[in-house]
Amino acid sequence: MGNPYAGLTDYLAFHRVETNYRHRTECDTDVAKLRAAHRLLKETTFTPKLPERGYCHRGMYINVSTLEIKEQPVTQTMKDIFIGGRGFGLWQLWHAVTPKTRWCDPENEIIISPGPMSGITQYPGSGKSIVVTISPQTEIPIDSNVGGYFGPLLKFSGYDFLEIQGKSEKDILIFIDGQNGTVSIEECPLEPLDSHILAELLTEMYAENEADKVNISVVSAGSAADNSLIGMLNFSWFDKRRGCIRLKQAGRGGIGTVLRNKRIKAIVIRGPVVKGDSNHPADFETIAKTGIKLHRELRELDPSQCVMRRNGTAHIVEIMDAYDLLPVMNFQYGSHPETHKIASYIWDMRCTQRTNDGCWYGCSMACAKGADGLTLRTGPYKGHVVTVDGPEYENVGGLGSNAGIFDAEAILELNFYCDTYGICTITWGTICAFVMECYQRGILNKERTDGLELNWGNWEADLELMHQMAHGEGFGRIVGLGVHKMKQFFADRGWGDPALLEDIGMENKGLEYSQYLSKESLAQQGGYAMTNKGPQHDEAWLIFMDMVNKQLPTFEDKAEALYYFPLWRTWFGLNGWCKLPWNDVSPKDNHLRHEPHKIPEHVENYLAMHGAMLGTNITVEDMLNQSARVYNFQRIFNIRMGKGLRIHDKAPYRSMGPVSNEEYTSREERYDQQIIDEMGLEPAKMTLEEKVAAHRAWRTDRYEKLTDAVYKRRGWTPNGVPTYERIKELGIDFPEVLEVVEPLLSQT
Amino acid sequence: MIKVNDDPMEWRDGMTIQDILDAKKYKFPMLIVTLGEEHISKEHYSAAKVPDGAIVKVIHLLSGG
Amino acid sequence: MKTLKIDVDKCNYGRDCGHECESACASKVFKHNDPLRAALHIRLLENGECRAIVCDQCGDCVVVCPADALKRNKKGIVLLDKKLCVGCYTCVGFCEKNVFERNPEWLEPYKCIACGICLKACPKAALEIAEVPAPSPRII
Repeated sequence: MGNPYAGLTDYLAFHRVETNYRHRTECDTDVAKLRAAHRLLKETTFTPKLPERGYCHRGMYINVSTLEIKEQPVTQTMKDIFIGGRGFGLWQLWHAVTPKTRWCDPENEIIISPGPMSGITQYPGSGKSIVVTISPQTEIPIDSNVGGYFGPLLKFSGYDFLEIQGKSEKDILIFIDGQNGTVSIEECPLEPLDSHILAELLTEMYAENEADKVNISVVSAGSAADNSLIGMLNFSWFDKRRGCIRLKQAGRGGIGTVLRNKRIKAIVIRGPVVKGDSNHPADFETIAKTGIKLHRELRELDPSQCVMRRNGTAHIVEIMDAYDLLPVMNFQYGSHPETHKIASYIWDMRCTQRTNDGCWYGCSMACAKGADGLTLRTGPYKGHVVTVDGPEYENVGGLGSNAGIFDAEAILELNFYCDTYGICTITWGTICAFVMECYQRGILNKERTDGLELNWGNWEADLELMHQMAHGEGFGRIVGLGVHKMKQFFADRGWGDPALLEDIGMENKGLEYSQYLSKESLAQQGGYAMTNKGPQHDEAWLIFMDMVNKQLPTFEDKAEALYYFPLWRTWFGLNGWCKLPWNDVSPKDNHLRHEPHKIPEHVENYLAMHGAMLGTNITVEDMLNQSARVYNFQRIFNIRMGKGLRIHDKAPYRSMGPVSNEEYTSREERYDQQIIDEMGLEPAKMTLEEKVAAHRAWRTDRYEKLTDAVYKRRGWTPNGVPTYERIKELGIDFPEVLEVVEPLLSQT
Repeated sequence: MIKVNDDPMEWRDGMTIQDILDAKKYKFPMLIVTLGEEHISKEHYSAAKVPDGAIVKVIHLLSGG
Repeated sequence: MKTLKIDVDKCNYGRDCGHECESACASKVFKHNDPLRAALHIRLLENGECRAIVCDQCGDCVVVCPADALKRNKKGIVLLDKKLCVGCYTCVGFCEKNVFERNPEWLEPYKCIACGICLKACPKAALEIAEVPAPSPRII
């Protein structure tokens, strides 16, 4: 075998040269001039305080219509039942909206909530915030977790959550000063929208001096949020070594669109100087020792395991390809001969090493890689030299292979523009893959796309489409609706067979799929579509367990995994943890433990730290119950908003099996064998069409059986409604909760 | 014939754990490999000979973002 | 760059001295009576092996510090700026020689800064502040 990388020697030689990570195009905007144009609409004061044992016992409510700013209580019930993070967000949102509330109504809220573990600096992955709102894409609550410094700085300013309601008539920003104890709402007419500039300018504007910049974090969207339903939020932090801001994203579900619909350009926080014990845990020593243990584990084992510190999550690109799981051309195929051009060694070269890339202090997993020195080739910033955050695996899969793009520099540019425009890379990837397949199949053509040739691999057209969407022009306006609404839009115009559009449009509940091929793992099909917020891998990633390890042979086994993992992973979002340090490194003796795939030692770490922070003792069972309360509450919230039933957990057939003859042929041996083993038929005597149809019947039936098993395990009716028994057992039998399920439960 | 994660696989003389991983394209770095009851650690993949009829498990841990 | 060096032959691994270097470091630098709190240790291990545990200013901790609180000074010695330190202990966990230490009473960790106080205390004149070439930063 020859060297598969032979053609890339020049590329590598070019980038092997150590990049100067401070070299980028300077932003020459006059900050003083921008600030002079601000008009103070409201200012109020508060007493800053640090949390005690993880809680500040208050939230901050801001109404941008009425300019009301007030404290919200954090009650014992909230702490006991909803814990924090996503739980607090959902609880506050529940009381803010009615079943009729739409995403763009003033009563819709954006709640940003770090959990009680937020801001621990000793253990990797404690900087997460969870953002909750009614999504413009799904019309039900969305929760999106995000790194960056905002969450911990909010906590250390004295608030367990920030709750924003109302709609402003003019462009405004909110500034929370946790050092001086002031909150202001300011009209800000001149600031540009795109995040890489806006966050930089606001960091400069609100920091008292250079040293203060690390205490500033900015939440912003980008120009695409004004012109699409898929706008996302960026959360910044100041990277001292690079001397620029960096961005992490609350990507899923269009929260940026809601922010801009409220006419908020940014939320800026200035927190206090962070120290190692700012959150005043009950038992600092345990947290310190547990943290150091994981730092050591990462130092010793990461280089031979996931190499997260060098490549971030992109380390799995070639692995997904090897297991036929990398999404290629709208999830048609699972691998591609050109994957080596976007494999992890490229990102190892392209991301700057010899620095620390955690998105919160003390995250020694440090997966928030930065690719420096990218000269943009298109768009409004053409010619600028920029630093790109990422690319993460999802970005490589979504912006790359799923669109047939195997060009690292193009992926970086797509990644950069997604971030600064405020577009979720996962969502964009799946949208673009869908329209490219529509183009391939003649559902779209040059006339319908306003001249864009959306062929597989055409990264220039992909970028042009993105620029159009960001600026509300051309075919870009259509793709900004997302796959769900696009299917209807195309069908209404007689573009393509509606059934085919349903099959290949990779969305469920209105949200686009994330970037893994679930066709050969039934458990993962459920892991995607039987989720609360829509198909993402935040709840369950079961492909290896199911498809490769064969650890889940029966429907009941799969249902058990779809009980345990969504609850276990929900717990991260309640507490403010990132899930990556749980399973992207594993202790040396992990194989000796019972159920090693759960990484038992790390579970014990989390239990120990939870106890050490709050001064309580909980078991794994308590943990799962904490999650189950919020998980079931969210399910009922979905029902209240008109979804959350069995019909909404249906999956597009592309996620379940081969839609087209070509897909079948690409895995013919496997599929034929399944016809013999699973269906008792003889593929030799069948036409290709018959074989495709037989698979569809078998796979669809299996999915229904899985749904039955999962609902049973979760304590839901066959229609997907949590039963009275389950609701009571969990202690979420509030009258307003029972009121939602009552009509449905009395039917059965 | 041997079994790898419940799937039958052709056996040949001199076959090692590494041969199985290569043939199956099991490239993931976090694996737990057992040959019968015995755990095989990474450094022994190339040396560990697989007898005919062996039951091999290659458990992949979870990963990804 | 400067670094503390211990001549292990002269020192004889503390077999026949009172570990004066450790006591001096603990009391004069850290104002503590317990020599365990010193930033250097001369250890005779149970298996008979001997070890001088002291920072060689390799600079790995400078690379991994998320707060940019660790820097080399003009002499090449790695110093912690306590004002910037966020107490994450990444430096402690990532120190291959286990010479970045912490104790329960202090938030900030500590290590040898080649101040030379131990030199005068050593009855065997086994310690010196040596000039060695500075290593380039590693990818860790």
